[in-house]
Amino acid sequence: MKWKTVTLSGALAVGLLAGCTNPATEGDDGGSSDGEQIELDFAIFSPDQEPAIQAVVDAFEDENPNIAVNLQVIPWVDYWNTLLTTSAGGTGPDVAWMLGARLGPYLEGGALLPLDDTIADAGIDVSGYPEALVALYQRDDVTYALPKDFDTIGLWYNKALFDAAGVAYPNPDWTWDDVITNAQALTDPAADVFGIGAPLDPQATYYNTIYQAGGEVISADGTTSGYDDPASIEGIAYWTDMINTYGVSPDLQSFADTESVAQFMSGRLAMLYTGSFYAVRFAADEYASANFDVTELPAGPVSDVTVINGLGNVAFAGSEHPEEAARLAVFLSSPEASQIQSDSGAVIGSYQDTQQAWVDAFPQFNVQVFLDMVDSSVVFPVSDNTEAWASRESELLTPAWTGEQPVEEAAGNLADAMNEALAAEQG
Amino acid sequence: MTVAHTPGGPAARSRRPSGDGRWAAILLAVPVLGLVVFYLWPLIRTAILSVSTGNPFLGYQITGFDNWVQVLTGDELPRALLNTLVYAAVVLLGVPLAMIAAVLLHQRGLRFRGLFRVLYFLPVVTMPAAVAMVWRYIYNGDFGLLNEVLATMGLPTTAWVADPRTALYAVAVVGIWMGLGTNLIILAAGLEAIPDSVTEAAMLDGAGPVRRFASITAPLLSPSVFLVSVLSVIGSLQMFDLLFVMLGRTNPALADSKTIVYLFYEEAFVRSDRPLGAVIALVTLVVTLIVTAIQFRLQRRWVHYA
Repeated sequence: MKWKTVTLSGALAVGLLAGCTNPATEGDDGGSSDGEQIELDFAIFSPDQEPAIQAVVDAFEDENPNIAVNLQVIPWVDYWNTLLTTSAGGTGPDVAWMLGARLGPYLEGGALLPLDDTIADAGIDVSGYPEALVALYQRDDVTYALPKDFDTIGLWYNKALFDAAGVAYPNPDWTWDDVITNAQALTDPAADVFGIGAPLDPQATYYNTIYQAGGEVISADGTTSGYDDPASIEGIAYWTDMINTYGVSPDLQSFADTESVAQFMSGRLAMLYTGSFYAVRFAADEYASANFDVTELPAGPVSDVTVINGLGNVAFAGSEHPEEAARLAVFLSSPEASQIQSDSGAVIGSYQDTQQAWVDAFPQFNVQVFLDMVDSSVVFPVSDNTEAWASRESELLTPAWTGEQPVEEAAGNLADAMNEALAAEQG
Repeated sequence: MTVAHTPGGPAARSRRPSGDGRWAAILLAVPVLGLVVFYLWPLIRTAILSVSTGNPFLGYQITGFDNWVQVLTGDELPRALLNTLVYAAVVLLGVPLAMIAAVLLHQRGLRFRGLFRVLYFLPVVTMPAAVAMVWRYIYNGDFGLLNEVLATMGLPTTAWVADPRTALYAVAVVGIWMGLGTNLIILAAGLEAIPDSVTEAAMLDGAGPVRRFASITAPLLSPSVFLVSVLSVIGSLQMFDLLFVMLGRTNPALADSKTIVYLFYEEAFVRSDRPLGAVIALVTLVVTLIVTAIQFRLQRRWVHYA
């Protein structure tokens, strides 16, 4: 009995060791045989997109028979931490997905390869990408990534609940006031139905309305917070009023228990501001597919802009094969890769004229609006160390959502904390 | 057991008096090396990191105690400390519960004893994340099982893990439930070790079940109870997983329920500020040492070693 245990745990330990060392050894082998067969590690965080990305990788390998790409999916909760630690420790991937909000520490550390020459060699016309997203991955006119996809926010609605209440569907001419009035008509406490969802979600909700009210999250030069701007406060109050003044949305506690998208999909919310990225999930759900549709964001006091965001592909300076890594990173965001991704329906490819396939993948929804809104979009706000202040947003705005503090006070506290973090960035 | 005894046995000692110490040193060196490499060295590195500033790519330079000042004078630490101690105190209530369960399971002639033991131990071998997801459903304010039961009895309901007044306690209940199995096993072993002769003697003297428990079982079980209490508190001081899965980042109750280790996670891994994370990790260590030292002090008053 005892021996069995010892043998078992010994075998387990050996197995674990083997498991730990194998990928590294393989990578090293690929490096030592110069010029011949090269291996590149490429890290992503979305299992949903893995098939589409694998198809892009296959296309790259077909064009470059001497390069083998090892695609690694690291779950989102571990992704950023693993990427930072391993790339700083010299054991990271050669190429990886990047978000504008996470770029800062890598640039500060000089960890990324400039891609401008590789882009020029590949003959890619950069004006085919949404301009704001290209700029998101540039510093001092140097490009560190090209956008591989993008997402914008739209007003999704549940036709069944509109029909039941006898309310006309939303149209692109709606304003904030229309949203509130119609949400009131749609709210039916007896049936446990709310007109709209107002979760505390920067990209889907309040970032959009801050800009629509003429405010800003961060100043254009990235040095001061825009949260104490009266227009920004108006953009936030739009959401908190839905809960605390008009009672047309469930409260924050309810969203903490059951996320807004799940409530929307269970027919509890008639409207929800959320992204193009949910088209896949809504299409896969019988109820949502039959009843949901989407339109452009309603106009605020100043404009009807949406926040646009998109992933980029970066290559690491620490790679043993920097030239090939840069080529892979550029290819992963190329017009060809954009086409493959749109065809898959998982995301909107970033390059112009490659997106029709994505629209065609969802005949039941008017997803064309997500492309139409690109022309009136603002890029997702970032600074050199975005997480230092973005991680405080939820915590400090919570009292405004629960009604414990006036929006001015909560937003003012957030502005103070954010200005402190931004001052630390300046060193 | 027998194999392990032989080298240290009297026969071996008389034959090779000098070999004993050398072999002991060699054999001890292996675990000690492990301790140094995997515990002591990281601890030293953490201490160095806590007085440094820098960037993971460019490296960290020792710059002084600014990080410590920032954490110790900040407004987040006292709140997190209080939350952690409240959580530990509530989870400690699981020890008497485990004791009652252990005594009941120890009863002579109990049927299905094995089945009960398995049932009590099941939460221990279940993944915390899975446990947390099930409890999230039970506690859900709109559709939860608990609220449905309370509503049918006409009792007030709330969003248990999203209400700042209840969230920490709701999570602590799950903590108790998850820890019950481990506590039970240790206490059951303690009960087995109490000789039947003592209990039988008390019975002959006319002691009833309550008297036997208070005068015989409880004092003789006290070393096990002490061990369980110390382990429970140390575990509670490191609570993170349940909070992380059950509350989530935009929960209105988070600010009032955050533990020290959650604070550490936010600084070190969300904001990627490793030096501040190192300070909080060391604060956690010091707090754990102090609380455990207090427990060892107090045990003199109530623990009886037979």
